Amino acid sequence: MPIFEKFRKAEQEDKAKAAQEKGEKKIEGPTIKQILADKEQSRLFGMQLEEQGDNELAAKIISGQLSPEEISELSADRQNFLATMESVKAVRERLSSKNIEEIVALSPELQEIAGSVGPQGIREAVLRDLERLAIKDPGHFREISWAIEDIEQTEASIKDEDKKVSEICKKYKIGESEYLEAVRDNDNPNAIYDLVKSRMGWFKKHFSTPESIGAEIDGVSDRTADIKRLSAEYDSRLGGIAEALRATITDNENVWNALIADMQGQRVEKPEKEMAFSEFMSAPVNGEKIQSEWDAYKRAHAHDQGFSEEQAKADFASEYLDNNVLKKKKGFWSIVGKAVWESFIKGSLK
Amino acid sequence: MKEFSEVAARGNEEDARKFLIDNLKKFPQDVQDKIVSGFFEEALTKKASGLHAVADFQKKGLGMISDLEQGKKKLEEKAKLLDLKKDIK
Repeated sequence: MPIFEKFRKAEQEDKAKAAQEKGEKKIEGPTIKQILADKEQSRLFGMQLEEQGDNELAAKIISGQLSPEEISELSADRQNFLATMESVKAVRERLSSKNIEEIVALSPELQEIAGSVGPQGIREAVLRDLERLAIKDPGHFREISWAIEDIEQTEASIKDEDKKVSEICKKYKIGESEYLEAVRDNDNPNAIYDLVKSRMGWFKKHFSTPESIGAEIDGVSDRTADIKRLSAEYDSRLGGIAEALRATITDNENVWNALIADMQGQRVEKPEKEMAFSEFMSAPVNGEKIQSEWDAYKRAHAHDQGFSEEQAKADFASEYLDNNVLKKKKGFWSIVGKAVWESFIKGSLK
Repeated sequence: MKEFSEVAARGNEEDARKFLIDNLKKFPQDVQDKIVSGFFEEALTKKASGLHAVADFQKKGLGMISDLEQGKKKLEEKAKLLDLKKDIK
């Protein structure tokens, strides 16, 4: 075992020992032998070792050529692996089929893909990719995991407010049927979206603050007719708000999806860090520069333990994209860009 | 992959997205997973930001209901006061 690797092992073992001394829970799970006996687990374990730079061990795992000594040296790596798999398991449990279907409903592209592979096929693809991310890009994995958790918490907080909204709707006599009256027998498939949009538009137009209400009351004349007019105006606003709020406690999936879509539509500009399609398109993924960088990379790593040209191409493509194209950008085109260009670069390198 | 590069190079994002869906199964399995994940993450972000906006809207709406109801009470008091003044006269 090379000195560097021995040092890393000793460091990992020290860390595991320190964690145990601190009373951190040792994760129970499959033994090294059980992991290695399972084709999928062993592939992921190999991926983790590759990521840590243990190319030699990773290659031995993949080819099933580990010696008993090497197997016993993997115990610290096993703990890390089990911890990673526990995080993936937590996300897997959160991503129920129902959750997936709700998310699919918000994306015309996913709906189309679900048409051929079903929501379950989408769930499987997402989970496979999450396992990969948990090992290869833990930061990105955590972002997705937090987003799923955040959705769960926000839904719970909406549910709490639902009781208050429900009382308000009862008070102002706004039921689901009254809400949907306007779109009943309407042939327009976008009628529900139009209805939600108009209600939300109304709310924005009539939005008032305690200060503006205070100013209206202070400004009303001392004539009974004017006071009554303002009071009637408030009644109308109260009914309007109750009607707009009614959409948030709906049992109708279409109304809910229309509401989320309308709310999301308010975000006009994409965040700065999101990769635009134009950036994706103009990515420098071919030409002499990349080939000469690859030649240099190959020369620098050719004598590494367990060097494989195939793996080196994948590592180089990933590193090249991170440094030259993606530059910590997020969003759809950065994810797809990384997948597509990585494959393209690996295929074009000589 | 080459075919996709050609479509993307034409510069139309919608065509590129459509190509990814129509030709999903032509990509290697790991790339397919990443493409599906890309669309999924996009929808996830959409849902999260939509839900935050709904939660915010509920808070604002309920707050405005309470402000208007208090406003109505003040107007009623003002009207009562006017009636009293009239009675006194």
